[in-house]
Amino acid sequence: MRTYFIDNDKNEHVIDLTRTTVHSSDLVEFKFSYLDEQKLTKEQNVFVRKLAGQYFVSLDNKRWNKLARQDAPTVMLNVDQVYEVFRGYKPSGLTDGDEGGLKTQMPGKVIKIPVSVGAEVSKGQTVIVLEAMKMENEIKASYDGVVKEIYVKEGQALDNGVLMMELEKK
Amino acid sequence: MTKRILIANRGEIASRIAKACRELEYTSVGLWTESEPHAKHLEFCDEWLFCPGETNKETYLNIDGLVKLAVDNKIDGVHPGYGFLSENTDFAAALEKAGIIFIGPNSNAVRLMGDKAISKTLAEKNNIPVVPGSTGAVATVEEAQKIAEEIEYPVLLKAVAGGGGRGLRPCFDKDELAANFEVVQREALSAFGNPDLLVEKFIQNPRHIEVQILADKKGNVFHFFERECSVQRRHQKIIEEAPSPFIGDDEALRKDLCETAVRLAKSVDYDSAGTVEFIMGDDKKFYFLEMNTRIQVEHPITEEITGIDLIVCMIQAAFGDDLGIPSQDWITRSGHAIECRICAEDPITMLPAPGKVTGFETNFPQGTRFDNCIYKGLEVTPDFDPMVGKLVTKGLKRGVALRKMKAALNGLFVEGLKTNIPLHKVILENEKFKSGNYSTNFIKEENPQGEINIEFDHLRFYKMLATIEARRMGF
Amino acid sequence: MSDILELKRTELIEKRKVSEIGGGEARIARQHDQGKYTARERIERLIDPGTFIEFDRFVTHKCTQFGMEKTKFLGDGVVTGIGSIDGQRVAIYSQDFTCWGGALGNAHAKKICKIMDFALENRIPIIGINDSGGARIQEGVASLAGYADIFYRNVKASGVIPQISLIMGPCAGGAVYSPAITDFIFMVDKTSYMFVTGPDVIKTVTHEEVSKEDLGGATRHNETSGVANFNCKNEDECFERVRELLTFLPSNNFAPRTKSPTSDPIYRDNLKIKNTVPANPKKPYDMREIIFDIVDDAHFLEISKDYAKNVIVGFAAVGGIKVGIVANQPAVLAGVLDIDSSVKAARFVRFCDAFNIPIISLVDVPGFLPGTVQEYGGIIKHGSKLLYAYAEATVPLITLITRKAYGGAYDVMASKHIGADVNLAYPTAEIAVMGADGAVNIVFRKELAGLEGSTFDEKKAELVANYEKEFANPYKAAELGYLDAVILPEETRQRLYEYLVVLKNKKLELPKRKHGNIQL
Repeated sequence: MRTYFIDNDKNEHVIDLTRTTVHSSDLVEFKFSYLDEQKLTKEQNVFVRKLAGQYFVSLDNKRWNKLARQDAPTVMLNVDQVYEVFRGYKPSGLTDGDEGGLKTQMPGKVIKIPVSVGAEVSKGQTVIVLEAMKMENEIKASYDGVVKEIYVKEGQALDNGVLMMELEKK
Repeated sequence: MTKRILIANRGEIASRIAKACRELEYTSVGLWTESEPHAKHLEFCDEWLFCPGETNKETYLNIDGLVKLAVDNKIDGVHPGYGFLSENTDFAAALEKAGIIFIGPNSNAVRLMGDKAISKTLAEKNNIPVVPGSTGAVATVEEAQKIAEEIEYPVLLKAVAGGGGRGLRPCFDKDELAANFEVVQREALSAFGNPDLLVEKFIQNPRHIEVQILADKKGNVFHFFERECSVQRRHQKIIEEAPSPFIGDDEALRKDLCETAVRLAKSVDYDSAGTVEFIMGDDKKFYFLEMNTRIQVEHPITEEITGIDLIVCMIQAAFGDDLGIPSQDWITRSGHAIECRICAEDPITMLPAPGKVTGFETNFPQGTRFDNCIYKGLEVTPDFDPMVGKLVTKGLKRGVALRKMKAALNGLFVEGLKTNIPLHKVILENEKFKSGNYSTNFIKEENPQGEINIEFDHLRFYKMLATIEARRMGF
Repeated sequence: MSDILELKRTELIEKRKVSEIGGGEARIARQHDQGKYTARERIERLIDPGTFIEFDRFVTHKCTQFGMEKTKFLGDGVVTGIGSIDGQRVAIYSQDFTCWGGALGNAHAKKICKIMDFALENRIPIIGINDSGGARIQEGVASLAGYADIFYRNVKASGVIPQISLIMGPCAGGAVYSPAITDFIFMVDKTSYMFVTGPDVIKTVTHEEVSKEDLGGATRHNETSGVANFNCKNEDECFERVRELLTFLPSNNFAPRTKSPTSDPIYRDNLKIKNTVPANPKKPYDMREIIFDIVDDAHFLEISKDYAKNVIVGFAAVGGIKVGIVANQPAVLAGVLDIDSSVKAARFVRFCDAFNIPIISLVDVPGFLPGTVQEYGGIIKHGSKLLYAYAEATVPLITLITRKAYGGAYDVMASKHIGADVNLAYPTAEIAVMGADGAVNIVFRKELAGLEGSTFDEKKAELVANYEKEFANPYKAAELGYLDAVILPEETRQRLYEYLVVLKNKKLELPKRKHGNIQL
């Protein structure tokens, strides 16, 4: 199970709870890892023991520290960053990455291609205008980048799923 | 009938005043506002009054509103705390007119000391050293050089209209002065629109040292030794110490400094708590800067080394009661105290960082004092002062006080809110700070904020998540 | 004495250890090499830490054909039990590929049936993790019987408890029918596939050459067939999506509705949404922007994102109240309704209705997609499935027309007449039988007859303009009471919340019957 720490600039730190072992009625062991480029690193076993209503933790099951009492917080702090904390999953709709290839979503006709190969485009800039279903669709770049390749030309009629243009992320 | 004291303030100082009222068995009355319905200071007050309004202007800065509240609720005395209306003569006058005691100095003293020019003149009249320099703008290099000869180099060329540390240039001899004169004039013109310059003595490695004054309405004026507040950034104090480590064992200097402060306070018939601020250079010569005619944030460290409750005394003085202090010699000091201001701000940029407290716990060494307004759920908004607490430790020696402060900082957990606790920890490890010999250039020169480790502390999060999961499991 | 006790204790602990190994370390390693977790690891990662309670750990098969009695695995290749996800109890079974490729035999199936019965009797959701090569040939028809027992329970539980299938490996032949009946199917890209007949048989019968991935991989079922609802990059993402989905679902069909915790205020400045619907009706826009604006924390879990993209369905919360959202997507195919989108939306509406989840419908539909493909494909039948679903639904239905609502599609998209409780529209709404262009051609045929060239164009333009002024707005419908209110975009969130709060207690019953005859 993963916990996501996301800051204001959408930077993420992900902590993975790989394994839970209940040793006895007052000792439980967790295995945590830190996700670095999709790889699990910084593995560490953390033991938790309950004593007099308080939770004590240990990294080696020998030396124990008390921890400040916290309920499941939605916000946690690391020195100068405040992170929003999501337990179990990162909510859908938060960030959506897009691929660099722009495909047609429906059959249509290319009305206008206002950019050329090698042109620099910024996020949200219109790169193709398609006419389809009596609507003018402005296809926009989903990130800052450079036009890598254009596969269609103005006036061309296209089917669904045709790759029209490729953008390279800057 | 016991006296009713209205606390026209909020945050930690409001709790502090309430505690003093409790000691005197007076009724403490706090203000309940809509912007802070769960304020912690109300916990310590005997009564709450609803104070309508959304902004500070409508509540804590509303003279008419507060006076009406006081009159309607049979208030005997109002304590303004610090900031807000604590040095507002209109407020004091309005209360006086309504027959309510203003727990602070008389208006005349506030007026005189509130004006920098008047207070400086008053100081000179009383043979109190002020920063030497030209009385007005200097027109030519020659004039500047003449004054510089009189006051001795190094001198500071200062823009009359300047501020924020700009339009300043130190000159160490007459050639440098000649060379810099026009440069600073041009700078001043372009930055502030006024090319006029002053010449002032340049205090090298200045220390900000202030003396605590407490007087009563019977003509007694006492000093409670000095405090050193040189750890500052953008003119905000971060850490204060009492007594000044720079003055150290130099009792003669200490006596001179404190008696000078008393002399100034007496000259305006001062009758409450106040602080006289000085600037002191490497040569141990001190100069009067200004006087703050109110109780200050850092008063706890003076209380720690003298053992006297200043707020209680302030209230007693205001009502014309006896302070219970027979003489100046009766006031002694012992040991060393240090205060760290805990603020809701980014520890690196020191800019205010509003947020919400999700966890608060303390695990302090014996004798630690933490005047604060923090509780789980506290929302720090941009409307109020970002300072949420003052951490104070004391020891017989400075080293012990520092040791306890380090332990206290390590035992202070505030979660969910950015604070300057990491900055304090780094400053306390700094060699220059530990030596006790540092000036107001400390932050700029030592750059402690650059030493703060901002790496993602995964181990700490592992431990926190482990306890959270354990609790969720029903463990 | 204590020695005997000690022996008995050790025996149990040893047996537990053996059951955890499953098919052996080598096979576990192979599973990992393919980027797949073992059955137990999957359960561990999916549910809340430390909450799994296993059932039937020591069950073994009783088959004696083909020398099967020589190999027995404790648990018989599937791990079943109950656990907790975010505090909500769930039943779960996870097939173990390391034991005979996860093949299903009679004991294996009995375990699954037992946990399904447990889930149904105790009214908790059931999650099935499929990773199996198919039926155990050695057990013969007993394996087939096992499958059928499972299918029967899937149907018995349908609409009573949420059923979720995770396809994390092969799922072929008859086995696919269990996930097909369940409410949601999650597939993992590149490591999972589903088909009734595999590439080998296809090659011999129809001589088509196709790979397993191409035939029934995650992408295929998410984009082309619409069988799967989620395409996950890896198994971890799959678990996270399941957890996310479960936060929006009740435990069972009669469970009281719970609130979703949020700090997003009901009343807030919604400045962006003011300009989302463009002034030019020919310009498309992304309906998701409106959705993100009105829901809590911009949190919207979309279902079947890659299939029939001209309609959007998914779960969200408004002011803590969990809702299902059905919306036309003007950015794809101009938001028309066609066979695929009608069926996608219809199933979603029926799921929400079965589980007491209020539905918000956002409408911007120019009509149904014309063409022989649609007509030959049975748009008549399939298009009306959505109509049936809305009309049958007794949960709170709130409809908001953002722009176009033309012709039959206006009726179908939760209009007041088929049972919506609250119908709203933006000032940009256009509600009419058909678009200006087509309407003018029919209604003013006489006036336009005989005109040619520029005179024709001018007259037509004038008539179109008049028609638009008269009909391309929400007020005609509002005058007739078919709309309850015309609202400004920035008012949407508050209004929806207010309506949802009141509709909480809605009680509506259909006439008693065994079940209707929905045109399948």
